[in-house]
Amino acid sequence: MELTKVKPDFSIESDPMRRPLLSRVCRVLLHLRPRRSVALLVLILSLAFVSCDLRPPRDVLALALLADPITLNPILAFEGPSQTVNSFIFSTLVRFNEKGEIVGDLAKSWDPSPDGKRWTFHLREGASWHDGHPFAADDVVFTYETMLHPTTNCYNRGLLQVAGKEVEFSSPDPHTVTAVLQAPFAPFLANLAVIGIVPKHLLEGQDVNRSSFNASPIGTGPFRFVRWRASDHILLSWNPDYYNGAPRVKSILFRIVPEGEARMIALETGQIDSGAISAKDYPRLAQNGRFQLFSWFDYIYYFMAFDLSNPLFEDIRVRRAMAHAVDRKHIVETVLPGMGRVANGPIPPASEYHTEDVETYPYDPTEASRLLSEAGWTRNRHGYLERGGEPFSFTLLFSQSAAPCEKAAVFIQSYLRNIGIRVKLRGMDFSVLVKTANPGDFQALILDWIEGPEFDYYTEWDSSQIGKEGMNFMAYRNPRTDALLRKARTTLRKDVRLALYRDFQRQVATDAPYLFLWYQKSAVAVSPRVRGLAPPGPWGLFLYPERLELRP
Amino acid sequence: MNRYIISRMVQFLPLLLLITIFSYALIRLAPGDPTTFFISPKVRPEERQRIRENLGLNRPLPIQYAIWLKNLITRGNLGYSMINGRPVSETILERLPYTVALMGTAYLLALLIAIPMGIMGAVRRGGGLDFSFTIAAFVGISIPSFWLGLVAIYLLTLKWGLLPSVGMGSGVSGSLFSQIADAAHHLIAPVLVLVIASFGFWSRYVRGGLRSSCLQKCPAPSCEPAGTLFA
Repeated sequence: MELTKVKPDFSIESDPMRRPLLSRVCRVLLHLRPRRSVALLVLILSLAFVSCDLRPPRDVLALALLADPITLNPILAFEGPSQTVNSFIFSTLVRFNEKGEIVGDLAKSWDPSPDGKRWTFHLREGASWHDGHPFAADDVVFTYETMLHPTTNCYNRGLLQVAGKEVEFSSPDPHTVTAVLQAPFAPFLANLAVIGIVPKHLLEGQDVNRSSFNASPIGTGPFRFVRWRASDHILLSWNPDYYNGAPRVKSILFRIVPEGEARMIALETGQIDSGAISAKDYPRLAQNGRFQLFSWFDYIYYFMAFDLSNPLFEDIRVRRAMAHAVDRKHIVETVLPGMGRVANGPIPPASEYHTEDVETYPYDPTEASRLLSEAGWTRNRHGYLERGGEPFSFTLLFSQSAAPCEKAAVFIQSYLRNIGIRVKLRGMDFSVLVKTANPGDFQALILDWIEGPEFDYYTEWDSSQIGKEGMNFMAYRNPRTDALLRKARTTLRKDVRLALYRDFQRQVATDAPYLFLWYQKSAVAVSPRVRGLAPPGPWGLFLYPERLELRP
Repeated sequence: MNRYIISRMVQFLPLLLLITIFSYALIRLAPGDPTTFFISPKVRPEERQRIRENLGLNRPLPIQYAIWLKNLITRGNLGYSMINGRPVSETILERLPYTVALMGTAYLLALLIAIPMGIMGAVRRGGGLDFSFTIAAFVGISIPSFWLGLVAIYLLTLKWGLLPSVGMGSGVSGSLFSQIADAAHHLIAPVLVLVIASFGFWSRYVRGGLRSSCLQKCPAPSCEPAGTLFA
């Protein structure tokens, strides 16, 4: 039947040498006379130096990973390296295209019920797992239910919860999946687009947290898993049965290179074919012209947040004064030359909901001082601001691991000193910073938000999300934005959402609850031999792995 | 001799136990827990709490340790990673061959260089050869290996394009011979750095050791040192 198909010849899979390298060497050496083994060793060493082509073989695309993935089970890991590798091995129900629109993947089509609470997905026929087993609706339901199960150690269960309740999935027939939501929810499809579908026949009845599947995965995607050498490399091989057409690249080799400088050297010497590059290296690589360079704005922005429940920041004039006092353009040009742009609102430019039509606060220290004296702050004899004998001083927290944040904090400190505000800086570990971000626990901090094309801004800005459980840690409260956000997340009409989010951005910019800092770009250098890249954008150049090609 | 070995082994057991208690306590008394690794503004605190309970991290520390010890003794199970759920023994075993290949080669080469150096230095103490060996040893000891590593990458990979700077191998299979050559190709640079960083120490060790044993065995000034050395 299907299962007895002739296996195509994978040069990599049919590796006869399964024994560890060292034992192989010993065997060869033990069977030789001493003199010959010495001669062989010398030969090996000289060969090692002679074979000094550092580039990967012609049909192997070598990519860099910033860290070892945590696990290759897509329902457990949502951090960068795991997601990168999983996107080559696994398919999702729906996916994003290069424009950030949602298109089908394992689902051909879908239709929501008129009230938006019931979604029916019609699945693609003829897709199969890498072990030959046919793909069916049961796999989809199994994936989502396992992810939602309380004993599954998944930190992103919230992707499948709407209005505090789990979404209910079922499969009326092998090619249909239905989802029942507690309330209509616009970002629902976008959430499904980040969850890789796993095979029920291999994981059912197992402890998914400890399954050996997590280190040797089977998916439905364009590439099959071959091997994972911890902290060294992951090798994938093409899947000739992939439903969108067989990939043209025979193997993908992920090299794990955590150190930035080491990655740059590996890239420049051709050991890897692509790598993210920093603002520092961009001009040099652009000049030498040996790479294809791409850059784009990501769904990310950096900001300085105030604890609005603190009386110090209650007055809108004070917050606007601080926005006027800081020359953000200068900060961006110094900290991220060519890689950023001053931010003015809460939705980054990569999103189609972004609008430029908001209140901006250009650098104007005189206006800042005027606003502050209007708010009752006067300079004392040391030049610092005071009100009723209380000095204007606060502590600004930032993550030590983020170099641009640290530099920006120093700039902000000196700009605010110029208008008489005393700022103490405190760098901390990222996880400590996140835990400190609760109303009353901090005064001001620098952080970034990473969002998506169909993001639920409610989670960051709605007044119901204030408190330990929510992400509205600066305690922003405005009934108007609450109403806009609640309507936008429950309406499925895009034109309505566009208008609602535009009004939301205007209102937030007017209230100035954050001091918006910058929108950031990503830059990637790719070897000239790689073709078939996706158009540059937040989804990356390897959005369609099956279309990649290697020029000889 | 056998009894001596056995008694040492028995004495070793409580020590091993103490070491496990100490390392367990040290790691777990540090701030945070394995779920801290996954902290991001988008992970809700209730999810972390649920997973903490799944992992048994909400139970008292001595009980957690006792469970671990029980599993180790009764089933030989070292436990599972709190981060990725894989068996700890598997994680150690898959890294072992690489450690042995790299450290073993480096150790062997360092000793192959250091022992003759130490012996010659001890025999010709105070001579020109001993002096230059001493300088070489101190240079080797003084250079920090991380800096040497950077220099090796800069020269061998970037400038001369001779040796790779990433990976334990090219990652793709070939014949046995090309596999060995490939692994050797990737081993040269790190082994070189490790040898330079350690041969100095060993050669001084050998030189010093020979000196004292020579003095013990050979009190008379007329004794020929080289003769006692290899007697």
